[in-house]
Order: sequence, then C-alpha cells, then structure tokens
Amino acid sequence: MFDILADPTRRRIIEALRDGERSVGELVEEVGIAQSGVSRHLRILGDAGFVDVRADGQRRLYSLRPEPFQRIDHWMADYRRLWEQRLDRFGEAIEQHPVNRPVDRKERTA
Amino acid sequence: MTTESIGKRRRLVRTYPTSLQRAWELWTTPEGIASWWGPEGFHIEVHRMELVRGGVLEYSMITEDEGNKTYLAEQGMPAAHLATIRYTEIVPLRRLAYTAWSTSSRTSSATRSRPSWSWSRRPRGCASRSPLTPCTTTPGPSAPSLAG
Repeated sequence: MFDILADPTRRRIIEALRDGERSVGELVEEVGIAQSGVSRHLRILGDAGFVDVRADGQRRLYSLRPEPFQRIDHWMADYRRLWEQRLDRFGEAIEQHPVNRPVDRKERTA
Repeated sequence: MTTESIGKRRRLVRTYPTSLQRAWELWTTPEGIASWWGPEGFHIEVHRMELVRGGVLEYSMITEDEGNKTYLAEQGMPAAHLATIRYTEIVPLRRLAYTAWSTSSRTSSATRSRPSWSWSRRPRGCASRSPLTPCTTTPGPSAPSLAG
C-alpha cells in the first residue's frame, strides 16, 4: 500500500484529487506531466483501489476512494501507539537501573 | 483523509533522566532491549544481535497472555513469531537506524519502516531535576518508509 504512495507524481495526483473529481486533462495541467504519465499513474492508482473513475459524457472523471486512506490512518495510529507504549516501557527500564554517577565528559555530545 | 502526513517522517521526542551510556545499553544489548521492546503483553527472546552496519537483530516475540494467544490463533498466527530488523547505521551513544517490517493486525498488511533514533544530552527544554542528571532524548521513529 505504501508502495503506491512512494511515487511523488502519484502523490501529486492524489493531492489534486483531494479537491474533487478531475479529468485526465485537468490532472495533466495541475500535476504538470504528460498525459501518458498521468494515465499510467491513474491506472496504477485504480488497480490499487485508491481511485475510482466514472463517465461524464465524453469525459472520464477520476476521484479518490476513502478506504485505502482509512487503512493508512489505522496503520499510522497503530504504529504510533506501539512506539508510545514502547517508549513508556523504555522509561520504566531506565528507572529500574537509575544512573548514580555523573556521565563521563567524553560521553557528552553536541 | 490525511494524505498530507504520508511521505513525511514523524518524530517522537522523549527525555529521560539517564546517561547516554545507559540508553545505549538498553538498545544495544540483548538483555537491555528485551527489557522494554515488547509490545504490550509480549516479551522477546533475542537470538542474534549483530551490532554492525548491515547486521541483524533477530528475535522471537512471545506471548504468555491467554487473550493474546486466542487472538493470534484467530488470526492464524502462532503465539511466538520470529522478527528481524537490519541495522543501517550505528554511531555508538549517538545514533541508531535500521529497517524493520511490521504487520498491522487490523489491515493485515506488512509495511517496511526505517526508523532512526538519536540521543543527545541536555536538549532545550529538558526538565532535569538536577544539573548533574543527564537527560537523553530519543527522537524517532522517523515514520514508515513509503518505499515498502
């Protein structure tokens, strides 16, 4: 899932789509890359479930799907919680062996 | 939606009343890391700790908690499983970076993260009780890498 977002062009496309539906032409203008590139990235985003497409007369309009972003939010929240808990335990481990001597000068860092 | 957070490295900063030496030991000795790594309800058994660039830390995550065991069984996961991280940067008493894989039970997707941690003494705002008590900060983890 993060692979998909690793690409800066795809992230720019997603940024543009956050403001609402866009056609390929509009994305070409906003993202500033050639149409073939936009189309290729839209296909990748579509295959991964990030983007939906619908027909509007002659045009095809692309929009974001919420599900993958919710999954990412969950992942980030889980990751942060894991580390907050871990660092609490790190603090407890320190308290079990408190420092009782000043640290050597050579250990000082900038 | 929070796409703006994607691609940025998150930062956690903590200050502890301890020495750099002690903080470093807690990260870089098998007994030290086993005393806090967890996660909650788990303990780890370190099988290999190669504290060199490119070296690995290999450990088993084990739970004795019945609730955890039941949950893992429901997810089709064993009560103990092997995990590996690979060190990418080691600067004694200063900095540690590595690549790790983590799996979210909720999304059942594995994601690579590349945290880096650094330690320093007496940062601004360090609320140490005594000037002789060193404070150690631990910034990181620098968000999951997006090139997972």
